[in-house]
Amino acid sequence: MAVLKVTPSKDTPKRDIAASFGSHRLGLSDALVWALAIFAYFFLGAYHQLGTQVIIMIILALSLDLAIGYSGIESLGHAVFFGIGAYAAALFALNVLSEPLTGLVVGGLAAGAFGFVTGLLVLRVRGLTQVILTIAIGAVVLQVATTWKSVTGGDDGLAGYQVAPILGRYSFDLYGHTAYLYSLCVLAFVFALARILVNSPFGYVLRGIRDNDQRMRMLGVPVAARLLLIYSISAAIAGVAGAISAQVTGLVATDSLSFLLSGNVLIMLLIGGMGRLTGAFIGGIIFVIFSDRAAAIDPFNWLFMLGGLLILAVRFTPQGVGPWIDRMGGYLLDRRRKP
Amino acid sequence: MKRFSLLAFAAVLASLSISTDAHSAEVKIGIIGSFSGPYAEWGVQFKRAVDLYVEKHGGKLGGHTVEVLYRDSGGPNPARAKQLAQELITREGVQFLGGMDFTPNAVAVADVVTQAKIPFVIFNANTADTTRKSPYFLRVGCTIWQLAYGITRYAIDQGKKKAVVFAVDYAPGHDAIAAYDANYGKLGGKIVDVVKVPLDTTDFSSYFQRLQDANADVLFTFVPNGPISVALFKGYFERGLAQRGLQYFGLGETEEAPLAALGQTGELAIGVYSSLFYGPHSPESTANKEFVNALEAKYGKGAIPNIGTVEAWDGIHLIAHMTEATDGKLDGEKALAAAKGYSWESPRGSIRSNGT
Repeated sequence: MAVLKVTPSKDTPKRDIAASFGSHRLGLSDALVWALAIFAYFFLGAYHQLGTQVIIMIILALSLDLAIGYSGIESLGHAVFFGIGAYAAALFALNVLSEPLTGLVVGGLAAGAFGFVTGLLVLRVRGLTQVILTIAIGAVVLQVATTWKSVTGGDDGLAGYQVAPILGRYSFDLYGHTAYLYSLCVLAFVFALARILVNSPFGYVLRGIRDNDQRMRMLGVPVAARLLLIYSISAAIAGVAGAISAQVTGLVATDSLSFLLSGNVLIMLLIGGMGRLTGAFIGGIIFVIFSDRAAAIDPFNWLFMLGGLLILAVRFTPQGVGPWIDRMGGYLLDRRRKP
Repeated sequence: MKRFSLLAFAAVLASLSISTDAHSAEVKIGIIGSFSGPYAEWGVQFKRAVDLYVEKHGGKLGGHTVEVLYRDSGGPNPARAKQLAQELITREGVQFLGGMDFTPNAVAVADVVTQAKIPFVIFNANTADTTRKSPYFLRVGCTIWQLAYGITRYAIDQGKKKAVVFAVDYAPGHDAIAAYDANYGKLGGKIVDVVKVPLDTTDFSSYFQRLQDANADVLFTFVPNGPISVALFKGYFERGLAQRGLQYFGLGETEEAPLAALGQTGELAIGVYSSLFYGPHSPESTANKEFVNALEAKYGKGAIPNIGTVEAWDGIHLIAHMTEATDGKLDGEKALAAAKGYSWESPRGSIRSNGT
């Protein structure tokens, strides 16, 4: 891809080129979240439960970012893949094998396969119709899960499966120490994968499709096939998030398929910023921790506070909090360089 | 502008860091229930009763200062309930847990409380086998069997021998169906149709049509109090099922509060039977009158207690008793031993704990 090779000429300042390929570099926000995650492991032992929830949501938001932020696939039904991944991992643990890593793969594959099939339908249309279609698919799957009691347990939820220790050594504990490290490792893996993906030629093609699919088609890009591929990948990652959730929680219920979850993860992405991967981290952290604290302070009206946060975020950081932190970081670094 | 946005963000962050446990109490109690969403009435009633009880005892239970932490499951959501229980135990260090409106939520926390050896006083969650899921479960509610089994006999005594059952399609609903079926058939009645409804149903018209088509004399029900119970009652009245000869024999849905909310007190409710063990006017005991008056004095005229209120009241009373026995220290075994065989005078009458 010739487009990608930009050689700096003498009259272009280096920073500008670097800035236009910002996603290649590790910004301050990247360093910050990973430092925070490791800090949390050593110093915030009591918060590992919450930390695990944050990480699961980050993985889900990452998968949504690949679909919406990078490829312009407008999905408001991503919980479907999360839920299918969760149910698949739980059923696998219940009926086949209790080994968690295989369970993750099964969850991811099940959700990815479902993403492939529904993608054939969803990706034929764009815009509002696409949004409605994803919601509709979500509603159908939720209904199936509620009614098909012999498999999913319906409204009682699916429980009673055991998850074996990870690698045969580290079993899940009440305090969530193992769960936290486990999900953090999966997150690191998923993040690395997503990063390689979006910075590859494939990733640039996706951004091209997002911005102007007509033009990409004229350039000879098989748009439909590319979109189907990323939609399946995104679904599989969401499924992995669901599988972790099923394994660390020890049960799956229909709420993992709910529209509410689809909406929440989109809100996380809005808060953090789309099309930049780190947005998922920032949004996930802010959303989950804020919800947790707000609900502890006022169990009746915490949703009201959450709404307030969203209004503030949209009003003052319409691109999300992520770019804003990076700008602040750039500003600080510049000041240090030029005294 | 930029500075202002910085300030706004800082304010949000600051609000996050405000901790709820500013003051330290000797005993911490965690209450899990539905405080938001369509089933929030449960949380409202739980909190009213518990707050009133703690206030009445000067902020002390069993001679120890207490702090009650309320956590919102937002309706039937087992995964969330389990996380909340784990966090209350590991992060907040609670000595007792209580609450739970829905059976799936209660079942979800069984492993957690067994592992942590923390007594969990289930307020409601009335599926019969819930308490068997953990030795640390104690329930102050009832079982659906207790309610449903007996009312079938009353229906037979009224000469009603053809019934239709309307139940929500999850564990307690299945209990209700089984209990109705077990006794009614034995006494010579016949259940002609069983209508099972998913928990999150919003449109009931096709289900009501089936009730109408069943051509039965008796309607047996089980639905959790909330949007479904209101919809069921509304449908029953609006379709004139009573005039068609279908008489209502229900459980908890027949409470005063939802009826009042529908404006259906008075004549329409006449002829609706219920086997529920509690109402603001039944029993007509001094304990109950005092309870109702105390609630009204604290929360105003509209604070009509329901089973959630009285269950929470008894639940916190049992926790207070266990706190006294353990002298405010964390000792699950000792607390359970103290609860077994303990009896007390409740607004619903005198009750005794059998240790489960």
